[in-house]
Amino acid sequence: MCAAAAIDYTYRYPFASGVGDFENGFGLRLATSDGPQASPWFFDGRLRHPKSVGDMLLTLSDVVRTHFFLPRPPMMDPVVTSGEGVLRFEGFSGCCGVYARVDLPAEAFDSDIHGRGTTNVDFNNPMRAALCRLNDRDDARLAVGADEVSLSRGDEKIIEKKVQLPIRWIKGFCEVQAYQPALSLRYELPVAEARRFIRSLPRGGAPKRPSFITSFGRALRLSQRETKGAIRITGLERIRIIEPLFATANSLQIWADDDAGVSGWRVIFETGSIFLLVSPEIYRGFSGEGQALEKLAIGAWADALTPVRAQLAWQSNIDASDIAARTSLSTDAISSALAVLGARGLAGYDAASGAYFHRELPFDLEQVEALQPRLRAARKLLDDRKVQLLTRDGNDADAQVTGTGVQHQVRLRGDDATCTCPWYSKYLGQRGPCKHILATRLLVAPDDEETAE
Amino acid sequence: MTPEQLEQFVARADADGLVSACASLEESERRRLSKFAATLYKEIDAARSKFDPETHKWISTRLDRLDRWLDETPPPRIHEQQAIAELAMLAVCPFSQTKNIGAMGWRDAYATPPAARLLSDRSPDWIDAWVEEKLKGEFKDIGWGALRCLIRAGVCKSPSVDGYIEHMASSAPGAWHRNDETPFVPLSQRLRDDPDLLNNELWRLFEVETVAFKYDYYSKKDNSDYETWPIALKRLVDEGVIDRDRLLDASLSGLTAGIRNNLLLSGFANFHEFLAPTLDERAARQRIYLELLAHQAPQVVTFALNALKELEKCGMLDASAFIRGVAPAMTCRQKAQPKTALTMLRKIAGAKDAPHGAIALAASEACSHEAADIHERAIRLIASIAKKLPDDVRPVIADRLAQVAPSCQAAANEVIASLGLNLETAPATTSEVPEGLKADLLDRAKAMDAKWRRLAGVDAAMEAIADDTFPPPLDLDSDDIPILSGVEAVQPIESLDELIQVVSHAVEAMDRVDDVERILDGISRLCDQKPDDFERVTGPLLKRINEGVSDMKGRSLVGHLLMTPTMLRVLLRAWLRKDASVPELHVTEEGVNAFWNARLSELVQRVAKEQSAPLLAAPTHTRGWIDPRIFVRRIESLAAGGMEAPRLDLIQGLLRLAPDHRAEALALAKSVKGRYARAIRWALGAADALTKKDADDGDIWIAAARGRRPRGPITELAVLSLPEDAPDVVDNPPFNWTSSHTRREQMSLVVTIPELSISSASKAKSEVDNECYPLIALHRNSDRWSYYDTNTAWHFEWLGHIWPANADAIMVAAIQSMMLRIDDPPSNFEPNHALLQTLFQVDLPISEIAIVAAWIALVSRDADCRGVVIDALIEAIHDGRCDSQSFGDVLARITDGGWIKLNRVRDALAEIARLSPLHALVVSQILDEWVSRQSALPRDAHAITGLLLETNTQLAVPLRDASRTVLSGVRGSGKSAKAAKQLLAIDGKSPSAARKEALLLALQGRIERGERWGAPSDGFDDSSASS
Repeated sequence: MCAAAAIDYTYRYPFASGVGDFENGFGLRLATSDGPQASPWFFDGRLRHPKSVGDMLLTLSDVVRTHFFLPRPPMMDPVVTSGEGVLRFEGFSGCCGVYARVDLPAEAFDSDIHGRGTTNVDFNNPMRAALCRLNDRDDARLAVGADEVSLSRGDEKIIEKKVQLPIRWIKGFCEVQAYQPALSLRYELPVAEARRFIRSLPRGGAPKRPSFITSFGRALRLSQRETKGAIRITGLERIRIIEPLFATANSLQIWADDDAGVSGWRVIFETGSIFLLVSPEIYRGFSGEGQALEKLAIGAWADALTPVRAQLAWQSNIDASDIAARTSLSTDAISSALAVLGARGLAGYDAASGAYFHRELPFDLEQVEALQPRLRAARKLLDDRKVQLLTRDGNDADAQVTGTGVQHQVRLRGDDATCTCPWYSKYLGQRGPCKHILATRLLVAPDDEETAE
Repeated sequence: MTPEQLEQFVARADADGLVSACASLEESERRRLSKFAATLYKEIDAARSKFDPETHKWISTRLDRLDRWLDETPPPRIHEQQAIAELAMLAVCPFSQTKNIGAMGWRDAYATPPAARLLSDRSPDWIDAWVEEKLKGEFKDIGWGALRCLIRAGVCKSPSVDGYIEHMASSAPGAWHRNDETPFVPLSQRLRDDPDLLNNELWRLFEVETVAFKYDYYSKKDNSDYETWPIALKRLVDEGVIDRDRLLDASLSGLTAGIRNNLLLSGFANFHEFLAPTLDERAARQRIYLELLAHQAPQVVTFALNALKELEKCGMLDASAFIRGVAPAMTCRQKAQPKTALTMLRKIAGAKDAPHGAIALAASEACSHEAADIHERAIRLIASIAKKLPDDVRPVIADRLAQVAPSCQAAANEVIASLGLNLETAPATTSEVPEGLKADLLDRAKAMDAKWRRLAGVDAAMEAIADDTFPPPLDLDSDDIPILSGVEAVQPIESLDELIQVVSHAVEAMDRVDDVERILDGISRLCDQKPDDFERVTGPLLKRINEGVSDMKGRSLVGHLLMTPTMLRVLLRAWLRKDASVPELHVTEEGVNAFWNARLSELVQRVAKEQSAPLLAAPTHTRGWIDPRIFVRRIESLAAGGMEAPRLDLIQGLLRLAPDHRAEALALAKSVKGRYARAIRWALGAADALTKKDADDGDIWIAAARGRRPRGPITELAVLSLPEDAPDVVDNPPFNWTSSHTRREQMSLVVTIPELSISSASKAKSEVDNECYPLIALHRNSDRWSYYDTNTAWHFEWLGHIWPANADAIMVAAIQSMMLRIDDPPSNFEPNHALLQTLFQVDLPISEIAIVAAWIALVSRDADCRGVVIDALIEAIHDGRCDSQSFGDVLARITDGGWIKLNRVRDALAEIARLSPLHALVVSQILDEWVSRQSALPRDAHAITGLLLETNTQLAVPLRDASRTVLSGVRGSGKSAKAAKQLLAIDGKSPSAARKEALLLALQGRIERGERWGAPSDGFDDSSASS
């Protein structure tokens, strides 16, 4: 297990986000925090559809303020990325089970987006109140960050928010990208049907068992039976959070990955969209899912990582074939490298466009492998000489790993692996490999090992 | 100060002495004492409560060494000493230690408590951080009064964290329920006495989620001076202490702060109204009210509409702004908001120079609401101004009108016509029957074997199409029906490796109920396979089983919360280590558990001796069914191994025999020998006559009888002299049930207690040994269902596999269990949904008692049960099993009990009806039957008549004569009367496309069944005895 459950983190903003009459007119001004750049300035212009932008950002704020599983109000701020004509706001719920992203393309504004980078953005109570009141009749401006001149006036009060960022929250924020490439679009609903469906979800006394979204005849409905093609969903209150959006939205897309049990909900507006990714269970966050674990432990991306990273320049859609042309790497190696960069918080994935985008989460992620307790535990098993190979044939092997009062039996056969520990027995590999399997793989294929350092 | 001196203050609980002594200490002196103070506190805390293993109680002791400082009697109690030890830590320790000190022990008084003086003297630089630490979490760790003392004394700043405001909201008013006699200071006075709160903190009550405006309950008779926040603030406003305008604005700002808590939002709205704003005050805030029309909380929209209504009455409403902003109110989930909005639009439309185009556009937003009566209102309004509408809005209006409910489409079409546009039919009346479907279905029907065509109801469905009637319900009570075609084959475990993995997974989390018997079967066949590494490989599994699995969700095969599967743990140990010892079982020895434990015990004895053999009762198919041919092969395999069929294994196997392949199995069974051979052949259909001697094996013959014929009397058993009223032995018991209710007074409310009593005439079950009579045992459980017998979903579902051909006893248990929690949400500890899984048996009839269970589930608040039954009913309608007359009749009888909530019936059936015209038609028939059985419509019958109107309009289906008689007698102008009138007007002379489609879908479902029945079955491997 990780030595520290959380890291002390200070959000530092040159001013508080808020609404009011500013130099260029009435509007909403979001403060960006210090990071690699000092309080970056990304955008300042008029919104074409203020109401829908307000609704989307409010929903994002709802997600980051909510712990859907325990009554524990979290304190983390969302993250904004500016790059190549798209402003993206990302957030992660306190329970680590809901990832939200608002994508605002250039068409959402009447000014250019300038500035490139990723930073935190201050979402405070007055700002939420302001978002509630945005409407399409008013001429509303949005500023993300402020220019140096404004900052240098020094008449604003610096805002500092000290929080404890749980390690699992940071990990989950990174690791959630690994799920999105596997999503497939399953349903596309016009707004009236989307609203009807979301409103039909049970309130208060929702089913304890998983539900399944399925179509019968003309309609989408929630079933209690698993049938072919149905989308499994739990914790329905996490989905209902998008209900208020249908007052102004155009349509809803529902995405799913049946193997991982995750679902994606993309509400599309005239300009812009908000995307929610929901974990398989309400009590199960995205961190510790081990999706990226095996890639981090072993894999063919090692040589590709550095050149791929060098090609990142805040693209809003990273074209693997373009990078291949520049680097002479294979697209497979590039994809693997991008997946690892995603797990390290250095790239996000947009299921709708089917591509990664460059963004760098404003946390210290150099030691991301250090944040993976299972990988650390696997290395410790090796260091303590608790893994004993019984048989070996190439990368196939049988091993015995000393546990607590027991010897776990690991079997590696090609890409498949089994173990006799309770973790593997319960999840059968659906939540990534257990530490015993990881340790055995590391032992059997040390040449493929990639360290964090 | 020395450590000894500090210790003396603590020992004597001398707060004042400690405070005085610490007043002038330098920080360096404090630091020197900090470790001692912290250690002293820990020692006192440890001594304060200890667990006594002798008495199993927590007892309070003393820290004896402190007594050396005491010379008074009685000495201070240890908790008093602990309080002073806390003060000592506050006096000398750093923040890292003081932040964990609780401060709720401080008296919440206006006299400055010692701690406040102490902190004031010390003025540590961490005091603000310490205060914020105390304000974290739901329960604040510092007294409100004491905190205010610190703030007023300048010891700490007024905290900016939300917890401070939360604390003020809950603590400042004081407790309304008190025991002491001191005069109570009401909140308004407390606020006057602490005026800083009125200037600053008060206004944050409208920014932070607190209880201030959430709850307004208190008891005047307990404390007539108590004031809630609304009462206190209104008093202060009335007295001019608080600015009224500012308070009115603040209450509205709470509604626009992005707060999502519905109770709090209602609280703000109610408080605003409580201040009784004048018309001028409302007019000044009209812009905010208009913004609130788009609020996501319906009660806030209502609040805004009501406020704007007041302005409208006096001609102060900004009509243009209202028309522009009202659209979101039209699509609120409830009906109240669009109703009010449409009424206001109607009034505005009556004004001179009213912008009719904009009004019609706003009103037409209501056409996407879910309720038909909202559509009706919108249509009426648009119709009244249709002639005045500008040309550019007419197509938009017409497009929206085309989406209304079926019952409103006629009126909508009239309006569309009056707009001068071409009539557009609404999607619901447009036939979606693919071209050539009918021809395709007829071709498929012709290609079918006549036997299946008849049995599957295809002939009847084709005649129904020709006659434009609905086909009769299927008769599934036939021995010719190939049950196995409707279930899936269960793959037996094939290897030891697979068995170990399946068991390991099941110990952690059972995925499917079929895995239980797969595991029993696997162990039974493979128990003799013990390779050299068996102990090593299974070591972790055995350890896990021995340790026990904590299983709060009831998913483990052997979780410790489960009573019944203790024998499963015994079986696993017998397999893993040949340990056949059976510990004392804490289970009831009655009912189904007795049978289950005895059956497992039978297996344990053989497995412990590593005697491998096929398990007779292992299902070959899902839902517990066994292919009789495979069953016979298993018997032969046992005989070949020199073993007689184990008694309970045989009983269970006989009960699971599918009706398929009986003749073939009987032919195979000709050569079966042994004590039970005749019973086995008789189960398969042989004509052997029973004799009195067979009474020695009465349990076997009963199982054979019910394997032969699940329903109806079995007169052949009479020779065995069995009790005639033993349920499901000689005959299936009749289930006489009645629905009723009682009323009870609970805390000054009168509540209705629904009752559904079921009597089956079975006294005999207490006279026979349940262990060998599982059918009787099932009824025994259903009499007094106790979830202590079992409380896991997989075990509940497995009960339906004991006798898959007839699950009526399970249905009775489900009814009784669901009735106990009809208004409760679902529970992991009472997974009643699992009892309803037998409704998915696609080739079995749905009995009356199953229909009762279905209705109970549909009207309960258990979303799992409700969801399962909706799924089952959708399938049953599609495949023809749903007998609408029976469903309607049962619903009517349940309604007679006077407790059922018809809106729940409507909600469930509406969800089903919207899926297809066939589903709508069957729902219509169910409701039609229900209406026909009413002598007088209940008060909430509009829920039913409203849905019936929609389905019948959509399908152009008239009422039956009996229903027409009932509805013709409905008087008045209420919703039921209106719907009745409209229903009576449907003559059904021109069948709608939807109705035609429904009949084709009915035929399609029957053809699919017939094709499935007629398809060649999977090849039977004659050589296999273990699959």
